[in-house]
Amino acid sequence: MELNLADKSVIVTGGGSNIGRAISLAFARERVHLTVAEIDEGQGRKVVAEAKGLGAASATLVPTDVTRWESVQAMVREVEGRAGRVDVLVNNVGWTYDRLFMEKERTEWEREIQLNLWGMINCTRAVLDGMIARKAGAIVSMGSDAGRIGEFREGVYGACKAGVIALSKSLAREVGRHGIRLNVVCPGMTIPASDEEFGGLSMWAAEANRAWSAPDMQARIAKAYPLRRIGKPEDVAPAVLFLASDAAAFITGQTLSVSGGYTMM
Amino acid sequence: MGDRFSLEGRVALVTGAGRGIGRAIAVALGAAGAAVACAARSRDQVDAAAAEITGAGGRARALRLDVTSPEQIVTCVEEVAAALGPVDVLVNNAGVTMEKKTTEVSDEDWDVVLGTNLTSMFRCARAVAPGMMRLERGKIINIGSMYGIIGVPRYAAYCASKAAVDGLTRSLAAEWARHGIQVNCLAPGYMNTDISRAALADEKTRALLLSRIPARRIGEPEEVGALAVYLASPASDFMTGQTVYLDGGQTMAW
Repeated sequence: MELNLADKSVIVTGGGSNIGRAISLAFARERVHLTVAEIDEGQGRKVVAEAKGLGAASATLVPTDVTRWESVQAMVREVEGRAGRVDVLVNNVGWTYDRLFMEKERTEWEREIQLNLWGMINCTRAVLDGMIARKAGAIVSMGSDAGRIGEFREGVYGACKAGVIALSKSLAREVGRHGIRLNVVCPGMTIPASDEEFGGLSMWAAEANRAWSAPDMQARIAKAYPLRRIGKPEDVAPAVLFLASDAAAFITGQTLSVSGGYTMM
Repeated sequence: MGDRFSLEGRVALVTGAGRGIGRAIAVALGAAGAAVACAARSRDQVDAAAAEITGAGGRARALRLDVTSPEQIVTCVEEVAAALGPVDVLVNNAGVTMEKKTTEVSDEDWDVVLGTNLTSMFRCARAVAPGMMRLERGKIINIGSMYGIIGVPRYAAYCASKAAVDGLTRSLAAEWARHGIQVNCLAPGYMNTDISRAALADEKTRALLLSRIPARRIGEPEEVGALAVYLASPASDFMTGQTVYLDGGQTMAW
């Protein structure tokens, strides 16, 4: 099936690491004008180079801190100036510290809220003016099963992801009349295939999250998934592409778990 | 990415493929490369659906099937296997609707709706599952409805049957995940089909309905086809037990 994404202007936030990287490269194969909005310039440059090799109509790194409104505004202005418009925004930046609520520092909650929720609010707000003016646009945001069912050690993170889902639904109602769609994809645990696939600023590099990489921990998690394996970044990308494309033109306000059947609701 | 949405080499069985959503799904699966068994009660309609697919250069077979007959379901699955190969993709689409005051719904009415919309899905899934287990892969797409989650007066049997499709979907997804079978539910809202067109003919009804749909329009059968291709293809291999509403945002279940 053709997704007809060629030549669309697509922004992927956090497009340099892990799931964001896979999403960037999948869009590149569809020959889009790709913008990787990344705080990690080194990792972003690597992915931009790969994207060009895979056939992207163009691929550009725009260094961006999604938690800072001025940075996000500047990024969107740059894209609109260079590509003429934003057809698709993928709110991919995400972060958590693997710790019990009672053991977390307030600064860690604040960082989770900044990256997971404020990042999504900032980027979404910044692209909507242009999308409303052109009466078209698709926004796909990364949620989490933690935001749907609640999850051990992911309290504030889950609250942020629940916020991403709720804001997407509210906006789907508010801007549906302008031809703009918002949907959410909820991956389960999704592990990069190698250290090359994420940068030093990725949550995969954080000391607090080392335990995830232990084989026995991964085996335990895989057992909880009906499909009996942990997700790969490549499992998630097709869902994002589908929802971003005109093939999903009548789908909005939906939350799709792509997590091996972990959450069914 | 295009290749992950391809159904090349796959065999699909679509029930209720004679018209409306079922036919649009059959045509979309055929265009994506699947060999499609188009099954429905009306011989003329399934012939036309299969002809549309072969006319576009695809592979298809027309089969007569009344999904309320357990024997016909078993025979149909055997015929598909003999003609096209074992079923990789089952689209449980056949269904009936019924609008009636609940005090006037007879036992027979109730049984017809539940039998056609729910029991047939279980029987078709049961019939194709052993073959899918042998292949260690399979996709089952159950057609639900927005009516399975919103309360609609005078549609008790229909709403109950479609809510039950969600339960069936999740149970099968959990039970057969280890065999590489993914089971998902595709739940349309108001679509541009014969059934909806009749309801939307009245201008006042139409305006009221559209005001409740954030997208401010009803869906086209072709849009159901595109979602069905996604759910039938390797692109959705890590997704199971999900219900996707295709309704322009009318229902946004958590």
